[in-house]
Parts: sequence; structure tokens; C-alpha cells
Amino acid sequence: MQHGIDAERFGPQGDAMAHQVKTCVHCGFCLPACPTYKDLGQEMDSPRGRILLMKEMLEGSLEMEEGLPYVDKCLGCMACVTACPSGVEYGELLTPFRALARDRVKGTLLDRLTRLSFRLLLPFPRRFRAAAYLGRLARPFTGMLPDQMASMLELLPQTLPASRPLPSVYPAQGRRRARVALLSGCVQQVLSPAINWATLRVLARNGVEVLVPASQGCCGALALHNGDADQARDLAARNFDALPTDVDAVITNAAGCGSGIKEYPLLFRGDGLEEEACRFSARVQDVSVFLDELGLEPDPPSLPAAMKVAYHDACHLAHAQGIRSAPRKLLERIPNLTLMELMDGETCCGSAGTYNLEQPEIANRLGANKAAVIARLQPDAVAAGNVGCLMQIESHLKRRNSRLPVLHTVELLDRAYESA
Amino acid sequence: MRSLGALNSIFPPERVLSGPAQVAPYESDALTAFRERPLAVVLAESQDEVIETVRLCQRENLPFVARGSGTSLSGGSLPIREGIIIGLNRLNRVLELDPAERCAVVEPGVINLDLSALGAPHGLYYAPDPSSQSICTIGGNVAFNSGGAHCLRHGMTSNHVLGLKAVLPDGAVVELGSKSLEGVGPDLTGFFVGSEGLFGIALEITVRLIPKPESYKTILAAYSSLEAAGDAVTQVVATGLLPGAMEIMDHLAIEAAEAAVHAGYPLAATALLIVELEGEAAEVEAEFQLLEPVIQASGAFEIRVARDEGERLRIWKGRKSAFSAVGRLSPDYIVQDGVVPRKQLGASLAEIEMLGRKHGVRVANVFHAGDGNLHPLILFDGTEAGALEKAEELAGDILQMCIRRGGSITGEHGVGMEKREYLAHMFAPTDMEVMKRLRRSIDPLEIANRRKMFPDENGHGQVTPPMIVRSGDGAGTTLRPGSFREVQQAVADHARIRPRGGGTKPALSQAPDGVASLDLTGLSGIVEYEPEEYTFTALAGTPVAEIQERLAQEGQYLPFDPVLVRAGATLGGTVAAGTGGSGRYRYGGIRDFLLGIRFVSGRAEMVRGGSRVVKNAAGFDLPKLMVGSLGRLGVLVEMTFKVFPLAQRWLTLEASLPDLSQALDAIRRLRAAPLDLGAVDLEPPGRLLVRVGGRSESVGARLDRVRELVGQGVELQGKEEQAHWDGVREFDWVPADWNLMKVPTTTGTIADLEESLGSVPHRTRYSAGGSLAWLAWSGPLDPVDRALAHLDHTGLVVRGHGDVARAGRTQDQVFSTRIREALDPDGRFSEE
Repeated sequence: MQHGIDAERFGPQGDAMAHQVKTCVHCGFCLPACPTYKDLGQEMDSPRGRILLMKEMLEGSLEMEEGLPYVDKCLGCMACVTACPSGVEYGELLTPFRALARDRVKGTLLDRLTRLSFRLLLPFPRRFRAAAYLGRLARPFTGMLPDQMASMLELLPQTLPASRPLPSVYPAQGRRRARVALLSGCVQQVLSPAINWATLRVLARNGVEVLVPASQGCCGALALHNGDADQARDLAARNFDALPTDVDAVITNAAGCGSGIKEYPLLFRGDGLEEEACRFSARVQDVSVFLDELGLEPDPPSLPAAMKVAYHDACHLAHAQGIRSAPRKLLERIPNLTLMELMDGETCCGSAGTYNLEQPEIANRLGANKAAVIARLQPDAVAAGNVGCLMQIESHLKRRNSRLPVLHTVELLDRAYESA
Repeated sequence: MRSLGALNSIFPPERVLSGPAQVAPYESDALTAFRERPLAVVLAESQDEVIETVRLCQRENLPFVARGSGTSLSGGSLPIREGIIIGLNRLNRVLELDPAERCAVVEPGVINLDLSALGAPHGLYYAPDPSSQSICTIGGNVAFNSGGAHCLRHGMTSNHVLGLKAVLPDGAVVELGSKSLEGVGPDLTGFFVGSEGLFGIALEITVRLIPKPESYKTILAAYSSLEAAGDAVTQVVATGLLPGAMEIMDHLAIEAAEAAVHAGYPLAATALLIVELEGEAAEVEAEFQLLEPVIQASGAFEIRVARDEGERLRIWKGRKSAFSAVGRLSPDYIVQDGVVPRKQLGASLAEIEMLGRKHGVRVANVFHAGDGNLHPLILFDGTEAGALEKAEELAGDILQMCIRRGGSITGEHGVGMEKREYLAHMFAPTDMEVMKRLRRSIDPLEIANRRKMFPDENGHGQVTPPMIVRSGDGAGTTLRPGSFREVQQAVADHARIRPRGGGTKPALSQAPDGVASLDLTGLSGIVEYEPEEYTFTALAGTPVAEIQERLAQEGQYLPFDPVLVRAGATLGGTVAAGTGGSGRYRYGGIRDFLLGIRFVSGRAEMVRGGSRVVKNAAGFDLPKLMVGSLGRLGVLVEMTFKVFPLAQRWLTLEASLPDLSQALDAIRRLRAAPLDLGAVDLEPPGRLLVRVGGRSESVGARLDRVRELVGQGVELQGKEEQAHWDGVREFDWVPADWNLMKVPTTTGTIADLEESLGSVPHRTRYSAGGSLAWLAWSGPLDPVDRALAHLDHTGLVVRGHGDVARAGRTQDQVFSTRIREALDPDGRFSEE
């Protein structure tokens, strides 16, 4: 598509944004893949519509205040990237654009407060834990709060799981086949610490020694996807030093972190740390891909009872990183586990980082749709590779009075190994 | 903005988009070379909202553009600056799914691919498959008569739309067609389809769903030259096979598509041919045995057959992503859609290459080789000075080439914005004038999709002045013109005139008192026959028998199965009466095989519509309008038809079931199965005749399957079999002095019709799987008329009493009146 964007005006990311606009041919093949277009049914809420709006805003022919609300409605799920035949890397337009827009548009006081709270709380497990505790106390007042705040509270679990610090080294069992560092994450540590423990045990069982440096912090993905590029760079840079380089891989078990880290090269383009960012980014692997490439050994034993498991493709695994087969292959290695495919499986569940907090209405409809599809399929459990999806799905299943277990892929592997 | 304010009385505020960020994303469809922002976009969620909006537009003289998903490649849904967009993507309810009648009634916003999903639980699917089928809407498909890779065997959108409810640009709501495959009177549904939004907005669409083929064989053959791939197509056609699809992609397209979807295409290929066979498993296997050696011998350096459905779908996904994937090679491109006669494919591709070099522009090629439908993708970078102009020049040269070679400027994308300057190159000034008159008659203010299809100013040539009309009434005279000019003169000379062919359907062709009779048998002969193109052109008075004989020499036939052939029916009379026969069950009726026409209008103009190639979407579909028009809209003088290869062998199962209800059950079972049947006829109460045609080695087994489903029956073959169907065609079963009527039906209404005919002495034969009843009766018309009206059926008397040609329910008078006013304003052909 033709454009008149003066790429140089927009810093090192300007070229990337202009290139993506140029690559879009406006064919509309992205429309059926886009959850917000399917939900809202208007061009402004479609990928090609947003590309056009971002183009207009970058060209300066459309005011940011006019176009930004539609860009804000984007989940960033990247389903459009999977669907796009002409190869638009939509994320390379969206992420820098959001950063640019944040600098220029103030938004409402509530928006700013919400974003400030994300900025100050989410990346820091201790602060977040304290806030989440307070939030639970505030739950009786949910009805009196604005939607965004209310949905934050609704997503908090009934009780916060106990916090047990992770060891700095978790030794391999048997012959050591590999040595990795684990990116322990931020939000997940507070809301679902069991995932990291399961990851440690499964890796160890497969002969992998895991280092968990205490000095590491949030990878910055949430900040990055919220348009806070500065904070994202600060957080990322801290991890360049904190995580060792003499390991076979840096492992993440959160799709959002993985996909954010894959965006470091663009984030740091033109920055003094660019090379380091590229090297770091290349070292990071999702736990499912790492285990699949390493090969499970020993074979996972059967679960205590046979299980039909519906696998949900986290957008940031499937669309953003193209990871679809590795988690499925791992799960299928469990002898009495039957994998089930969800109808419309590649459609976002509405979690999308902090989206369910910022656009609760759309997120709720997507969550409800996903829960309905799952309920129709009647599995014994749901598996996914991202904590946000797990919480969103669990929360919407609960609204249907379903107590179906919603687990991370490694948690199921862990259950199999632990049952032996 | 008084009118915009009025929109707020129809829509809630959130569905009237007028802010800059709201209208900007609607500025283009899939052709971004054109951009225009509308005053507003309204998102309709009910039919009433659309009707009220159109009426408002009419009152306020506010132009509107209907838009589905905005995937037009010809700029068909480009907004108009001084008007509004009526967004129809949310008007997407499925109103009815009728698996027994194999159809569905849907609103225009339903997505093409969702129709197939809808039919899937019943083993049915929607055949037209534009590459954008995952998102394009059926409303847009109807407006632009969209095609797809599988047009070769299945035809385009118009071949799969049975009926429509539409709001005309002046706010009148009309209902056209029905659930039956057949109709009475001009094919208004077919005429509406492909009118590019100029005739208004379809609100309800009755689409045909057909059984999903039981088996596919998808062959991928790699060649080191485009010419070799093109020659392979010619060789496949020469075998007499009718594949579901035959597609070619050149190197650039292969590269782009492979990068987009990883279809597994051989990247070393300069050209890739995809041939897909489909149908009953036994038939596909037999066809494959014939096809494989042909492909082997065609010089392909690699041949692959899809091993499973997954691989087949990947092959098609690659092909269908090719246009957009070319975005990887070039930031801008123009997709062309010209058609050339199939045998000129090689020469046309060479010419395109030469033209590309001349203009210094890269061209990628993806095309429907079986249809001769080219899709050159002209690649350019709009940021380079003069690049767009060069690309447009090349595009123009390619269109001129298609016209020069006897083809069309558009096979399936429509004229839209993009090709409107070229429509007048394909059609003569008079043809253009008549099409514009039709448009103005239906939309006097030109508010519906203004600026599309027709160029803004008609600077092209002179309209031939109409004949001097003389006053003589010519009552009682019979004229037998020997030339087109004489036909024009005869029409000009007579205030009332009625055309006549072989006179085999006297109720339709006999001139009443005071009306001159125009005998067309003097205009006889085949003008052109191109067996390898599957087309022929003949004069209106040519006896059908002569045509069939000539086609048979080349192993081809008229799949709509004309009737009264031995009796002397002419081609023109057959089209005007709309009388196809039992065999139309397999591939379609007259409407589905008539490609082009020439006719003399009521103003004595010589008008051409359609084209001489198998695929064409340029201009209004005048050929369809003439099917069943009974000579009341114009005098047909010449026609071009599509033909198909003849089956190698025919077999018929004759079964005698105990009663009507068991016979109908058997028909339902047959219709629900993935069978490719030649004819399914019922003679009440229980005599069933089912015909199967195909490769000699497989028809026997296929007939056994039919017998299994029917539960009994004896096999007819050879001369006996032929004689049976000849007798059906010639109405040997109708007593000589009885009346005969054609009644479009559906399987579900047969029992009711039989019952309500009760005491009338009659014989019926239900043809084409229950879509077409031939009703012979003795005595007056009245009781039959009442019975039909009671069941909401319409009948066409072909042999019978006096002046009444139609019986039963009265059909649309609004749309047809406007059309008649444009074509025959003085009522020369009128029935009154």
C-alpha cells in the first residue's frame, strides 16, 4: 500500500513501521482471523483497518486522539500475521506505534492511572503480591469501581498461592544432558508459582540442570506491549547482565515473555545494546520447544487416570512465535493422554497481556466464547503455554460453573512424571 | 447534511460512522489504487434498515455504495465522496437451510466459506470458490458474479443463485426466482447477479448447495516453460475429460505463494499446472487412468498427486493466497482478469511477456487455465515516479489484447472502477446505450454504485440511430427475414410483432390477431464452432437437431438437454421458451450454458450481450435475461453456448416403486448421496428413471450404487436407453391433443401438486430430480391454474389454449416492467 510516512521522523523503528505499511495489500485475508473484527464487525477494528489508521497517524493526516482508540482495541494476538499472505509483520508496526503514541497522547485520568499501576506493580513480584493481597480485600466493592479496575479484581484468584522462593540451582537428575537458565517471570510467580516449580522438576527429570539467578527481573514484555518502550528497555537490559551466557538456553515458560523477547532486536534497534539484545533474544527458548528438541527422556509415564486434554494455542506462542507442534508433541508422549483440538483454536481467549484489564468488555466476550467452545468439547482438562490464558480461561470457565483444571503444558508433564 | 441527520433516525449512533478515523478504513477495498472517503458508513443489521436507508437515499438523491467485506479487486465497493456506504457485513443471518432441496436462504453478509460449513453436516457445499472465500460475502459475490478456481465445471455465482429478494435503488422490494432450479419468464435472478450493485441491494439470497464430491485427485505438474504447461491444458481438454479445475502459476507466483503458505510447490518450476478431478470415486479413478499418461507425456519434470485432504488443501491454499502473496514481491500491483479463448493461452502469455518487457514492468501470472481466464499481476512500486502510469498502460494493453483475441476484459472480478474505460472497447456504442438505458430505467437518479461499470462520459463512438419506425400494423402478415438487418427492419415496421422459431411450442409463438409473425427459420446455421474451446455460435433459427449432430461428431453435447428436438425446435425458440430437459440435472439449464447473444430490441436496435468465451463478467448479463423471455423483450438472432464433453457411455436404471411416497423417498436418498447423476425422472406414482453417464469402465459400478439406493430396478442400455430419453424429450408420452405445461417445482411440493391436480385428467413427469414438472392435461386451463396458484407455483403453457401462456402465481412485475420499458418501450413484443 502506498504511504507518505517520513520514516526518519520516528527514530530507529520508523523504517520497520513504514515497511509493514507498504507490505500490506489491503486484501482483507486478515479479517476472518481477527478476534476484534469478528466481535465488532467494523473496518476500524480489523488489522488492515488499523494498519491504515496507523499509516494516517504516522503521515500526520489523522489526529492521534481520533485513531488511537481503535489501535488500543487491538489484542496484539498476531492472528493476522498467521493469516497474512503478503507477509506483513504486524507486530513490527504495532509495538513501535504504541510506544510512539504513548509519548504523544495522555489519555483519560483513569487510563493513566491504570497504566501507571501496571508500570509500578506488574513487573515487580513483591509489589504485585502486596497489591494483589490488598485487591482481594477490595473485592466486596467491585461493583463500585470502574470496569477496568473491577475486571482486575475479578481476575485475581480467591487465595494467593504461597510464595516459595525458587532455588538458585536445580540439579539435573541422572546424566546431565543440558544446562539452562530459567526466566522466572513476574506476574506468573505471584499468581501461579506452581508453573515454575513444575518446569524445574520436568527439566531436571530430563537431565537438565537449571539455574535461576536471583538478580533477574521482569523481561519487559508487558511494558513493551503496552507501549512503554523505555521501561521495557530498562527491564530487558537488567536481564542481559543477570542471566548467564554459559548455558544451552534461557528458558521461558510464558508465551508473552517469549514473544516479547523475540522483539528485542527491534526494540533496541539503534541502541548501544542492540547487539547484546540480539544475542540474548536468540538464546531464549520456550520450554516446550527446548524439551521437544532435546527429546523427552525418560518417556513420561501414564497419568494416574486417563485424560482428554484440550490444547489451547496461546497467541503469543502460535501466532507470534509459530510454536504449535512442540507442545502438542510433548503432551502426546503421555500414554493415557488424548489431545483434543478446539474449534476456532487459533482465536485469542481475550487475555492478551493486560488487555483483559484495559478492554474488559471485548475480553469478556472472547473469554466467554472460548469457555463455551471448551464446554462443548467436554475435555477433562485444558492445557496452554501462557499464564495469562490459563487465568482468563479458568475465570470464564468458573463463570459457567465449570471447575475444569486449566494447566500449563509442563504441569501436565510434571503430573505424569510425578505419578510414577 | 440533512440526509446524514436523517440516517440517525434509522440507526443508533454507534452504527453511523462519520468521524475521520471511522471512514478512513473504508476508503478502499482490495484495490488500493483507488481511494475515496464517503460522507458516512452505516452498518445495517436488518433488512428493514437497508430498505429504509435506500428509500432515504432516493428521497435525498444521496448516492450509496453497498459493501460486504471490501475484497473487490476491481474497486467495486469503492466509496463515493458525495454518498454513503451501506455496510452489509453484519446483515448475516442464515434464514433457512433446506438440505432436502439442497439450498439455503441467507442474508448478504454471510461469508462464502460459511455456506460450505453450513452445508457440511448434510454432505453439501457451496461450489463457487473465489480466492477470498474465507472473508468475501455472498452479497458481494452476487453483485460481481464472482468466480473461482472451480468455475470450469461448476460455473460462477450466477449458476448457484436460485432466487433473490432485493431492494431496487428506488426503494421497491422485489422477489425473484424460487427454490426450484428452473423458472418461468425471463431469468431475472440471473440478470440481477453481476449487475455490480447498479440494480440495488440483495437482501436475501437463495443459494444452491451441492453434494460434496466423494473423491478428488489433485495433480501438481511442474514444467520448465509456461508454454508447455499451457499445451498440457490443451491436451487434457482433448481427452474429453472435464476436470473440476485447471490452474497455472508462473515462477514468480509460485515463489510468492510458497513463501506465504509453504504449500510444497516445486520451486524449480517455471510453470506449475494444477489439475483436479472430482466426483464419484470410481469415476475419478477411471478418469485418472486416462489423465495420468497425458500429463506424463506432456513434458512435466515433476508430477505429484496429493496424498490426502491435508495436502490437497495446502495446494489450494497456496493457489488462493497467490494474489496477496505477491505483496511479498512488490509493494503495489494490479490484478488483471481478462479472458482469452483457451487455445490462445500460449500466444497470449507470450504477448503479455512481450508487453511487460516493452513497458519495463514485471508481470506475475496466475490463471484459470481451463477457462482461459488470465490473472496477470502487474508489479510496480507506486513510490517511483511514473510507475503507476506505466503499470496502467500495460494493463490497458493487456485488456485490448483480450478484446482483440475475442475474449473479455473480465472473467470474474467485474468491471468496477478499474476497467470501466474498457467496457466500451468490448461493446459497441449501441450495446452500451442499451445497458445504460436498462440502468436508468431501474435507477433513474443513478444513486446505486454510481461511477462503477460505466465510464463517466461516453466519448466512445456513435450510437447507431434506431430504425425509422413506420406506422403499418402489418397484422396477419408473416415475415421471414434472411439477415439481421431484415429482422431490425421487420421490428421497425410493425407496431406488434411476435417471433417464432420451429413452432413446436405454439402457445408461445403463435401470433394473435393483429400481430405480425416473425419467422426466424431463415436465419439458420452454425457461425462458429470451436470444439477445443467448448463453445459454438449459431443463428437463432438453427434447428437444435443440426447442432446436436455437429456436436456429437466432436464428442460434445448440450448439457441442458433441449426438448422437442426431433419436432423441429430451433435454438432461439429453445432459449426464448427456456425449455431444457431431464439432463439439466447434471450440469445446469439453459441459463448456465448461454454465454452470449445478439438480439433486436423493441427499438429495432441490434444489441450484443455477454461474450463468446466460457467466462465473462463484463456488463449486464443480458444472455440470462433472454432465457425464458418468450421473445417479449427482444428478438434473438444469434447465440453463443458453452458445451461439455459427452459421456462415453450412458446407462439408465428403471425402477417401479409401489407408490409416490416411496418414489419420493428414493429421490431424496439419491439427492443426498455424493452421486454425479445424469438425470433423475419420476413418472407418478412410482416409476423412476435414473441416468448415469461417464467412462465406460465405471458406469456399471456407478449404476449399481444407484440401484442399491433405490432398492430395485432394471438396467436400460444402448438403443433402448437412448430411445427412452428421446421419447421423454419429444413428449411421446403426451397424447396428441392434450395441452402441455412446464412447471418449476421442488421435490418437496410434488406430492401436493399431484394431489391438487386430483380430478383433472392429467399426466405428469417430474424431471431433473424434481425441479421441473411437465404437466400434460386435457380440458380447460382453469382447474390447473387454480391448483398451481394454490401451491404458489407458476406454469408456462407450451402447447395449449388460446393466448394464455402463464398459469398459477403471478411473478414479479416491478423489476420486469422496468426492464421491458428499457428494451421495448412501445410494447411491440407485448402480450396484451
